[in-house]
Amino acid sequence: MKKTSVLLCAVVLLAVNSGFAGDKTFDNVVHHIESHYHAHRTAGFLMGFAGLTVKFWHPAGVKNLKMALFDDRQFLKAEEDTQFDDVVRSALDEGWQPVVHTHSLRSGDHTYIYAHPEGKEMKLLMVVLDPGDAVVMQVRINTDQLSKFVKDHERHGYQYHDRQEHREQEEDEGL
Amino acid sequence: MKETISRMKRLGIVMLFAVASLALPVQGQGAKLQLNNLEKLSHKASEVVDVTLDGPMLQFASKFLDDKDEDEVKAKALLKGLEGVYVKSFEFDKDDEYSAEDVEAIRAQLNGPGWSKMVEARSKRSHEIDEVFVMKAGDKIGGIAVLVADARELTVVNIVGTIDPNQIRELADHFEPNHEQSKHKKDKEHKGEKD
Repeated sequence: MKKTSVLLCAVVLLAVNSGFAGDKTFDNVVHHIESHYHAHRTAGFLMGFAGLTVKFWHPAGVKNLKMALFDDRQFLKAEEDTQFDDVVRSALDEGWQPVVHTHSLRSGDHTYIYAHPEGKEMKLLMVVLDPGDAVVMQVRINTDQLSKFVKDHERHGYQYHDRQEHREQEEDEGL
Repeated sequence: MKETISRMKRLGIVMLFAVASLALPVQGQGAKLQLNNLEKLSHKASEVVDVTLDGPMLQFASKFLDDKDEDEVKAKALLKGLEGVYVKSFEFDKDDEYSAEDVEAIRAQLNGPGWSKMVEARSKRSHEIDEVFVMKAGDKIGGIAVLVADARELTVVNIVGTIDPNQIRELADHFEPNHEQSKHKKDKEHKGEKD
């Protein structure tokens, strides 16, 4: 029984990781955060489960998800970390294109968004580091499915707004 | 004699191609500014914003616009003509953290062929200079550059691609706060009138 569980876990982990085989940047950034700040991932199992769910279900056109959360409050000296920028920027060597980079010495926030278009799909890498926590996320999305999802939910939003407005009108008339 | 004429013809064709290849960048790539010289300011600035939206990202963004919505179709048409949107903004805690050469390197590009200055605002009090440059492409715009420089801030916005001035006005309306909600309300009222 134990062997079966271990085997199952191995297969699941392999399935989750295979979607991004060859993408070293995510691993490099996570490794740097773990080794440089001695930070530990939080909700690792949950993130793995989310990755697995996404792999088979593809909600909103999201086909693969890799996410690492750090909530150790150990990033207060991130400004002194001169290597961090280089580690994230190594994504450029893998064909990633920088989209957004913001950094604030005042608040200690760093945000990087990189994109890698692949036909109808788009890979996005997001790295957010602030003094309290860090998030590293990589997703592969089907752009058509995602835009359809957004448009559908926009419509639902308006329908909800209309219902709410109608209810408020009825309440006003009742008073 | 025949050989000389044929040589002259070949030379003419080569010259034509050379002139054409020089003219092409003015329409397309010429509007894209080289901003790499500003990279070094990232380490000195207290706030940095660097945005790069080029072809694939703009096409990605345009997918979220609805083909059935009149306004969004117009916005999509505008995005179709765009080749890139680039923003670099630096804020500093102390005065004069960037040099005049850093700004001149950009201004020199904007003094090049094709570009013309549309707006210049100077303030002696805040030592601020705001400039807007436009690159013309026929009766349309081939690129826009906005340069904002004061003692503690340097911002460059560069929009590359063919833009119809009328489309800008329409897009401005599109991004007006509460535009979507008011439009939805209007659509609903219009529908009610029909019923």
